[in-house]
Amino acid sequence: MFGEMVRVGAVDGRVYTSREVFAAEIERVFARCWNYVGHLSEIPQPGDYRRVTLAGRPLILIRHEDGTPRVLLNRCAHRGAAVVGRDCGRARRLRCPYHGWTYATDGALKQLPLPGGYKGDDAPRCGDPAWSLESYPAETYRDFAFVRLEEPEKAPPLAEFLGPAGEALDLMADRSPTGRLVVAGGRLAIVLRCNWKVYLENLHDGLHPPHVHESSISAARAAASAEDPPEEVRWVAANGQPLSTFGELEVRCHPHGHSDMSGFRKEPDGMDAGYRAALEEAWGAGRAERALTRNLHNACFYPGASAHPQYMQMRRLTPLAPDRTLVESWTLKADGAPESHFLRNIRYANTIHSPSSLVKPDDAEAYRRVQQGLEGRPGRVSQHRRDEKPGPGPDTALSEEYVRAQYRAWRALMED
Amino acid sequence: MIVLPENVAVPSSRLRAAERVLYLECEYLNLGRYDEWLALFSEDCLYWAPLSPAQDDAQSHSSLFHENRGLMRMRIDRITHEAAHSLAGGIGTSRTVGPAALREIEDESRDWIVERRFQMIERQGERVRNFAGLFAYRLTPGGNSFRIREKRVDLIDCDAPHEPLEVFF
Repeated sequence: MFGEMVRVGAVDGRVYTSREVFAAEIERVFARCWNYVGHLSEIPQPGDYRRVTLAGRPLILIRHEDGTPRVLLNRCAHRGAAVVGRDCGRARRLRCPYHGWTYATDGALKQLPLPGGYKGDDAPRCGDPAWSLESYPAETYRDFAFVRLEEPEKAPPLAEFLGPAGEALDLMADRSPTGRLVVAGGRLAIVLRCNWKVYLENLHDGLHPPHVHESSISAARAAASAEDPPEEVRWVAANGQPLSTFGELEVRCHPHGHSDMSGFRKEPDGMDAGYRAALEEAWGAGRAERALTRNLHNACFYPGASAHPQYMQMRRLTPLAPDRTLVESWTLKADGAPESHFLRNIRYANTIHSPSSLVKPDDAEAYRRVQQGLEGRPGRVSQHRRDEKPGPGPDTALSEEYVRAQYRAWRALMED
Repeated sequence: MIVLPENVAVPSSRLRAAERVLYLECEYLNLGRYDEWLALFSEDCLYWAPLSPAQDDAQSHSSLFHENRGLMRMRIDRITHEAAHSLAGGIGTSRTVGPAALREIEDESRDWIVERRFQMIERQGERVRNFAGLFAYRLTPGGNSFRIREKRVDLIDCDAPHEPLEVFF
């Protein structure tokens, strides 16, 4: 039934506005894909945890005492209270604040008050999986942890799910001669008044910048006329390049709805020789060269995550409602890379991913207007037909093939 | 009015000059008179809204805002541009501030560090938002008055998700 709402290149607007579709997407799209849950550097020690909400489920990402990351449902097996109240912390045991049920870092029930009060074979018992915190399978790729929430038996292994899109994560990890990345510099979080798909459909859209970003392009051009303008100005002004430039950007569509796009912001040459040598020693000359020079603007890990490898950014989207979407972003610091790279990437995050970004408000406004328009007349189809072609092949940032690829994945999950 | 620390005395003309700068700083923003607002700041100024509570580092930690004079100018140029689509529905802000308190006069620079609580209501199109927190100013002596060398804004919910933040607090 949902599949009929999506035809190749033409989508029923209710796909963006209906509560029924939204609820089905949470269960069928988000809960049945690998979701980015966090980076292992965020839970360096056993017992370190972070609260995360994915596919509507309150979760805890925690490092178990054996060192492995675990993803647990933040819901006590007794009455259902959230066991963990802080956003992050360290705990040897997780103790529910309501009646004191206590769990190990793998979710196993360790202690409950007055167990003699329960009778029968199915009574709560320590170590019984039925009376533990629900646990979900997690896998990592270069220390990026993903979780699959429903039907884990049907899930392809994470590396297979990511496929060629995993290159973006490899490029970031390969920027460190030890392969070690650390989430650093805080989390930026922005709320968009649009359906989650409206946001995703802009990720490689090379047609919008001159229109949507006219005000910030104009402001940046004025600033660029000053002597020695800062790189923030250059990053904002990059949206003002001619459409022909975006027409030269390669967009690759991968299985499962993933995609990536080459970069339109260029960083000046000038590489620390010692750093390059360290990377070459660690990864070999070819791989080191690729880590340093492959300019990938972003990659989408459908449905809920994206990366900006050039500036070492990881992002996660969380659908809050049919017309509200949360986008969080983190900067990754590469162990052994020059400090100046990290400081630049923090400035990039401030400039492009902060709620105060000069670029972001007009993107957000375009998304909001799409949402409003579709709510105003929900039956009307929205089009993603630009540069249709018969089969797979290279695309550019002026094609809407990546949107069609997202919908192919959407249909497969929603009809399943 | 600026509350002084115990055992600190400053000439009343200096107090009045500082009060006037602090008053204009908020009122120009309330009125959307951005050029006059920017003229209150020194050439080496900083506008900073940290992302985390008690954040003491703006270099290796992201911020909600972290702008020098050039970037402040760029923001003003953007929000006053006719193609600032997000502001097509109009924007207005009103700041209500608590008493200002002089925390310190730095020995070397003679800069004054002044803090005050604020609430700001922002109307953008049909949406109304509330912000609250602490304004901390570094006022640097200049001529008969002061210029603002730094304005730091600590929102009480700085680490929470926000919809786009377009104008200065």
